[in-house]
Amino acid sequence: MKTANTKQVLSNLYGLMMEINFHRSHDEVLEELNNISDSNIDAHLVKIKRLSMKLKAVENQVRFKKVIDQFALLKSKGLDELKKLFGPEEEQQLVPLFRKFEELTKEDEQSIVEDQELLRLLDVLKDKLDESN
Amino acid sequence: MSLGTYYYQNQKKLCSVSDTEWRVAIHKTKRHISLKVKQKTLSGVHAGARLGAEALDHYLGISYEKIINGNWEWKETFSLAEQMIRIVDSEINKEVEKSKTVKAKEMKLISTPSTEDFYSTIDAESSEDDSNECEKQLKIVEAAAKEDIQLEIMLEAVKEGKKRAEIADLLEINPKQLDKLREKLIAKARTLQSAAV
Repeated sequence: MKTANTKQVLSNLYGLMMEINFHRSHDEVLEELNNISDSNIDAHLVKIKRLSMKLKAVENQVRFKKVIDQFALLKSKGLDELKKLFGPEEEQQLVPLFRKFEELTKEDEQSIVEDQELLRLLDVLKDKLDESN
Repeated sequence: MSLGTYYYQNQKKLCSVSDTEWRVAIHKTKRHISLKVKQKTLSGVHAGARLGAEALDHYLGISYEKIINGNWEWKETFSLAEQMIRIVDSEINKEVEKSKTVKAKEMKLISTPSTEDFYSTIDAESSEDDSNECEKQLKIVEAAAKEDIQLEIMLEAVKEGKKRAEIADLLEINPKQLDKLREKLIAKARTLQSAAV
């Protein structure tokens, strides 16, 4: 058999094995895994967890920056200006949050991102502002 | 380190992936990488590039990193292992294209490959330095299939370029049962190979 043909047969065989592997079910692979020990898989699992944690930290930084930027933008508009975006009834409901918003200083930045009610107000304010523009 | 375009979208799926699911996906992808690199090496196009354990770790790392950091969209219809295998295929093809010195913009990027991509046509003008090794490998496979009617039929079908569903049809078995035949062929080939050493 010529080399090209030999190689083609081996290539076909690898292709078939890839296709079979691709279609193996979760349970079939798991059964095989239970019968072998592969420290390399554990090593990759550790890498996956490390990478996920690092990205989670980046995600938190991004979220923090976004909220702070949004907060700075709204503050710059002035509270009286923002209140104009709401009807009297809506404003009445949001009064406690408005008060909180008014009292916030730069030092309170960390507390902003942890205060769910305030985050909701920031979102509402941002939406109203976008609508009015 | 930055968040890719699909980071938040992929995270929605990733948060429900258990360690066991990761293990299964890693194991399946490792086998795929091993077979794919061997196949590409037959054409002489992957020689000199990443091989062996280095290739496994390199491509495996890329396959999950791109999903976790969101640089690659984890498609709704794919399982974790399927998505990782598709990323691997794309990365290996890129490496192969590079070694063929094709312009970067002409690189083949697979976004939605099918299992057809697992099969590759060998260039007749590829390097013949390893021809003896290939002949030896095929002889071992042929010897392993000998006197087992199912394995012989399977090997003949492989020689004709038939694929999984066609071979299962020919053998009148369920495509899933082919995996058992594959295991049998590999086990017999390994025994013969060890005996020959």
